Amino acid sequence: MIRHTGLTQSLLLLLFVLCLMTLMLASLFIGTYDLTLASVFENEQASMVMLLSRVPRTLAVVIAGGVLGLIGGLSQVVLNNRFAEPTTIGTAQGVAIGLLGTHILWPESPLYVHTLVASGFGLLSLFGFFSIIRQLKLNDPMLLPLIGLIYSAILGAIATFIAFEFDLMQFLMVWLNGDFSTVISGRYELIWGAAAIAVLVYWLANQLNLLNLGEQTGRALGVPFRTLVFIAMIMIALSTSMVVATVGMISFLGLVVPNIVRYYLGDNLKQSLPWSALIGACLLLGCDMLGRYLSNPFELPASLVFGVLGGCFFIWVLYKGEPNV
Amino acid sequence: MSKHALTMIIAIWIVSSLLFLLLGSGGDLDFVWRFRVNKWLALNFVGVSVALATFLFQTVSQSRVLTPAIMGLDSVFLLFNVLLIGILGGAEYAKISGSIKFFLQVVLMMLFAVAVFGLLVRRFSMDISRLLLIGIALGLLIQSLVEFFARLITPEDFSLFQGIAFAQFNRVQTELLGVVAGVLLFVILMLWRIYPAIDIYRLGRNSAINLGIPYIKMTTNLLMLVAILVSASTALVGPIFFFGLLITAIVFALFPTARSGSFMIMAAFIGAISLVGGQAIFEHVLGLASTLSVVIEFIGGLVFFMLLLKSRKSN
Repeated sequence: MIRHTGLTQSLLLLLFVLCLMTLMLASLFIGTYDLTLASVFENEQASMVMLLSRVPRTLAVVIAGGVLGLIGGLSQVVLNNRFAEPTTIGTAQGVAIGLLGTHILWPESPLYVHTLVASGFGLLSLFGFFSIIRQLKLNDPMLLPLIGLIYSAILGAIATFIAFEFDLMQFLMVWLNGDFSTVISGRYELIWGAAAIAVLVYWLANQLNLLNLGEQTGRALGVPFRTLVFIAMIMIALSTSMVVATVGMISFLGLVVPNIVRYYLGDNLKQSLPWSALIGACLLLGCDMLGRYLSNPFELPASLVFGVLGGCFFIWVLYKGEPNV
Repeated sequence: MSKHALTMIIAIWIVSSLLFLLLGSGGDLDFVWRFRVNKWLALNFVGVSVALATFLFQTVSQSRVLTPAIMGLDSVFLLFNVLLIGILGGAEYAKISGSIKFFLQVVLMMLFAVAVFGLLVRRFSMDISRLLLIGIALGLLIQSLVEFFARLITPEDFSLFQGIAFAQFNRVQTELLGVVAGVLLFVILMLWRIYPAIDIYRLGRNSAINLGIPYIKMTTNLLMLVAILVSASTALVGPIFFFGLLITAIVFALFPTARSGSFMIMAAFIGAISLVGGQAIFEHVLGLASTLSVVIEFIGGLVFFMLLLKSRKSN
């Protein structure tokens, strides 16, 4: 592990914030409709495109990237495994089943009800996963993601089956493949809720850090271990369902980002979480812009661009063979 | 495995074949000949090639939960086709004859299987769970790549590609039957020659080398056979992910001590029976032509999960 002194770290932080700002600024001007700074102020249509589409889109990408990076980091501490994140342990798929359910049984209910029910399902799938791995007493860190991916695949198959029967495949595809081309003002605001939870996670970071002690040591030292795990799970489920319901899931983001951050900064959440959020936002924004650029005038979903890059990263980490996780 | 079991299994195969060919045909043999025989052949070929491919792959990887499809070999087929469509354009692609595409595909899949699987299996033979995880990640990555390139081609080309990507048991590509039959015959002859060596190979790397098996060469050969077999089945019906696992799990449950020769014969027959019999029931009795693949994949997925959990609990 490479530890940086306080000064270099602040400088690096400043550099990355600047990088994110530059990307955000560039993101405002990339897209099918050509915008220039002057036209935004002079042309009414141009300013409308800017305010209704480009600004919300850029914000949504930054929030989604930040939240997923941070939630990935949290999941890895909760499950004590560096390969855990909402798509590799079935949470996102559970959320999708919940969204399908409310869509079929109670389509008129407001969006926040859909999201709350979906978080309930996300929480259920988390509990299911917990009870499976608790029974197995895993001693090999590779097994958790392995079982998690298959668990996700089975939940995903159930979701596909329901969606197929009720002719909702298109909805399911939208939820499971994160895409920001549909984000417009008035239809994405729920994602700010996920941002609020992310802030809450950061605020609780010192308490959540205690999860690193492990259950036995933690409880012996008087840490309310189960309560902490439960709170963390609720926050994971809620923010996952808000992201999935508004912009869709981005696989591997929560896996890649926290692992890079941890390599440099270690396990202290208070220190690593802001970095996970920052780097997650930068990476996802970069992927989204790449997707807009590559097949102009069409678009590639950001999740697809990230899926290719993140998949390569995942395989590389596994192949290189970290000694012990 | 006793002679008795073999007779039984052949009898079941004949019965399910007759059911598939004759059920609901009203005894009109001309109809059967024109519409059903090709499909029957194709289902048999797919069943046999998937069964053998899975068995050989499990032999090489020394694991009972891995299949070539789980490790992304079926998706390589899609990647190859989407790239070909993207480079040539849909019109040119459609002009190339099926058998030329098939042979190109076989060569590509062989290269991929030997280069990637050979490397991974050799490097991680001590660490099966890591191997499995890399395999699944590789499969996911190749699927993302397929989707990535599918988005870059024109909408007309995309619909052409979709026809290939979602080929099913009731829409087999019958034009390739002759070529696939030849290829299958070749593989079966090869296996006939080397099957005693496979038993020794299954003892594990060190014992096999001690007993005079050229281990690396044989690994390469077996992986090439796997690639040929997977090419054959994907060319006929497109990718099927958990079917092979289902067959080997059934055979292993029925005949836990079978040697590789009899194991392969049983697996081949059970593969053929589940497709022919299953399709007979789903298509002619239930009238649900497209659901067999869904049902097989779902059961196969559950079996995969259970195998994994069981292997954990016994440790």
